[in-house]
Amino acid sequence: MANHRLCLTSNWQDRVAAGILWIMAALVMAVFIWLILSIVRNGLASLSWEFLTAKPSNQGRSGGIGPILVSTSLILLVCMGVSLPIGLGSAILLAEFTPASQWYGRLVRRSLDVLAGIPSIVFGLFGTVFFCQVLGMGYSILAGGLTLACMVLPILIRTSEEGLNSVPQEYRLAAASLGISRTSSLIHLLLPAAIPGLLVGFILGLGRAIAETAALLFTSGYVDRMPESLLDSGRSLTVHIYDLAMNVSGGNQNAYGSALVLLLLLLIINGSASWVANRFRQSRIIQA
Amino acid sequence: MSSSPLSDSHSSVLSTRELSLHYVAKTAFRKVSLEFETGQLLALVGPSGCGKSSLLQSLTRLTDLIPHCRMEGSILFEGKNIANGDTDVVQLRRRIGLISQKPTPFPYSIRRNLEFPLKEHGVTSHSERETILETRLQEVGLWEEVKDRLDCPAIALSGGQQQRLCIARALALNPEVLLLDEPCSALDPLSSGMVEDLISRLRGNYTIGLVTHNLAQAKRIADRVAVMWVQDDAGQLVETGSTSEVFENPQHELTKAYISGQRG
Amino acid sequence: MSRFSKDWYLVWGLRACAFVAGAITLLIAIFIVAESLPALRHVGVARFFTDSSWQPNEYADRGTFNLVPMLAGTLFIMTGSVALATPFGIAAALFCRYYAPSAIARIYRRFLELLAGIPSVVFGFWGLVVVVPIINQIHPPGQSVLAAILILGLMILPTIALMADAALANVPADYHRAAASLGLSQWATIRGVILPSAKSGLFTGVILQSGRAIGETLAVLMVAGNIPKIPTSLFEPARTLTANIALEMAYALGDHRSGLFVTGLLLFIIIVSLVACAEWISKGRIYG
Repeated sequence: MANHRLCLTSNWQDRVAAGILWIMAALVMAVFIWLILSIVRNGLASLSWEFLTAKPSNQGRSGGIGPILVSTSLILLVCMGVSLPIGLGSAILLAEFTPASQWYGRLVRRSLDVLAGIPSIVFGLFGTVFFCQVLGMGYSILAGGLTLACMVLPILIRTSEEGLNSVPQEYRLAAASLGISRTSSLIHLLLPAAIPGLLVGFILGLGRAIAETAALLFTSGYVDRMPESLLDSGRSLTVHIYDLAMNVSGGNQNAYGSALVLLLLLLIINGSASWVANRFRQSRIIQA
Repeated sequence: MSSSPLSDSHSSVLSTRELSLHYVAKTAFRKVSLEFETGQLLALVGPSGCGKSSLLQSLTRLTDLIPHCRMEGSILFEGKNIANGDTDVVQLRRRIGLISQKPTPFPYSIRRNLEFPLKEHGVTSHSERETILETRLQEVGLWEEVKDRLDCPAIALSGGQQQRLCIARALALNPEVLLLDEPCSALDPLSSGMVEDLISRLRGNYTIGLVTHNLAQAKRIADRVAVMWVQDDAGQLVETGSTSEVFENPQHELTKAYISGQRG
Repeated sequence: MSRFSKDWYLVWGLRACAFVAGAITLLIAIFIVAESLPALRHVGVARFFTDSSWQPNEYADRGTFNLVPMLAGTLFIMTGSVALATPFGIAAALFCRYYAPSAIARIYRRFLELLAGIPSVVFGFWGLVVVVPIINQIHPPGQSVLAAILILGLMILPTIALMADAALANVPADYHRAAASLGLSQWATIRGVILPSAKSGLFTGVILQSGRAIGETLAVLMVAGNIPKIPTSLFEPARTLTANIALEMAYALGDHRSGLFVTGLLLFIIIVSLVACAEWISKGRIYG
């Protein structure tokens, strides 16, 4: 993104405005750094291999977050495992086959826009009725994962569509003029070329799912034991932090530790997203 | 004398009868009746916007990919009308190859660029594919240049090499007709010359349709010439004939003006 | 459309995916409405606004169901947080684009992107253990509308800044050149030319983030105090519509539970209207 340095004339109003803006920007950054340092400084004390693998004990005041990390991973697995094929399929339809599905495509896009705006607690309500009750899953990792899948779907579809649209049109025409079926050109040509964009979308969706709490409160449950199956209840890392902070007096230390683990996970995920995006940009430059 | 629209169809493998192409907002060309004589090179000339590229695309039904595009009239390929619904367009596009203006190699290695379409069209034997690969690359004059780097990305080739690769890729499918849409216009003069020589060599073995805005090129390598022009807001076929007829003795006044550089 | 049967299977498979994606929104609407019906019938829409307080019961006639305190809580907190975050967010964006040296701008932007992904539970936790005690010292109790405004404002700030940045990037370079050739000073150009032309993008971003503020659950739940009374000062506790659902869902039965679904329905409607508004303003280019 280009940085327009406006080399224009300067008077006292300019200097005051510049000063104020610098101060505001610095203030914003200072508060965020304060937040992050708090978490890091206090959470570091708890961070250890022991913490990452042990069971929570004494309602979570002591012990670790091992089963919780497992539950979180399972919830994410269900979420991405379900939303990825559906999301990719929808994105491919919208990007590649729009003439074949015009009113259909418009309808799907509209409802995805609405879906993207629904607050997470409403997803939680939906999940608890639809997945837990109507489909009989009860409070379970499966129900939680499926609810998250609904939330993550709009992001996945939008970014996948962008990824596909960035593949040059010439490839499609060249493939068609060689008599290659659309299925083959999709599988062998377009999807491989769109992978960087698709990957970025996947990682963004993952980051969103990991950060979610409200939708899981009444779908995947509160249990902090090691889950034995997808139908077991299990709590996610975010729900654990919430419980320790609000319901368990003296739970703050472990809450700090869990929060730090969560932030580190997000850092890794975000870092991967930009690494992939950069590699994508570089490989395009080499090819051009 | 311009050829009449209904001349001997058994000497032309591909021809159109009163073909029109309509987009949503405009008509690309109207009532074009054109013959591609077997084994000869027909140059399609005319100013930009008169529907030459659209005509080529409609011959391989690529226009099906454009939403709300409508064709009227017929296209006869080996005696059968391929403009109607029950044609197998996949086979059609193997037998009528289309090369576009901008070289478009796939983002694969040189080898895979040629093998991928072959595999798609059922050439399962590895050795057969290797043979075809070498034959075609030699045919386009690329073999000596790339034989040591067949597994390198095709993107790394120069523009002229890429275009020759695209031609080899289309030829690998053993087409009867080869259509080229201004294949040299995106290339530098040296590469342009090489591609032109290649096209000239292919005459006789293939029936060739060449869209070009370069009249000198048409005069150099074409057997027959068809002139198109924009009239009544759509492309129309103005005159056809052998190269010598059209260039030395043009009948239509637009042709005369175009040839002499006064218009277009 | 080619007659190749491989392609025909593909398109129908893709259509199925898109159907599922589109159906989710419909399902959510159906189930939320269905679960709200008992309360709407037994309690009646009017009572949600006219009852004396919020003390719901399993049976409609034995409890009171006034949602106005929660509506007020949501409204005050949303307005306050948007009022806080918008100037700072736009300031941060202007800083990145026109005042900061490009190295600093790059880092600042990256940081904003990372901050936008921090989970709400982490914000809420930090608010609870750091901000609330500070407010408590000024005016007890700490959990208050002010705390919620500060924390929520902090949460939506990075996204407002990033959206503002994108809106500023869309201002055509010609405007800058025209301003320079008229001898306008930097601040005058920003104030008079650039901000007005980025208006619709900025406005869209603010509206979308207002929607997010309304829908936010965890962070406000943890710092706002959750007393279901209309707050009369910044330092009083309040409860939002979202917190209402999250707090009581675990033990609500019958008409009480249905009443919570009515809350969810209200949220759904408010936010969908906001998104539609934003889309109308930007004429569909929300993400552009």
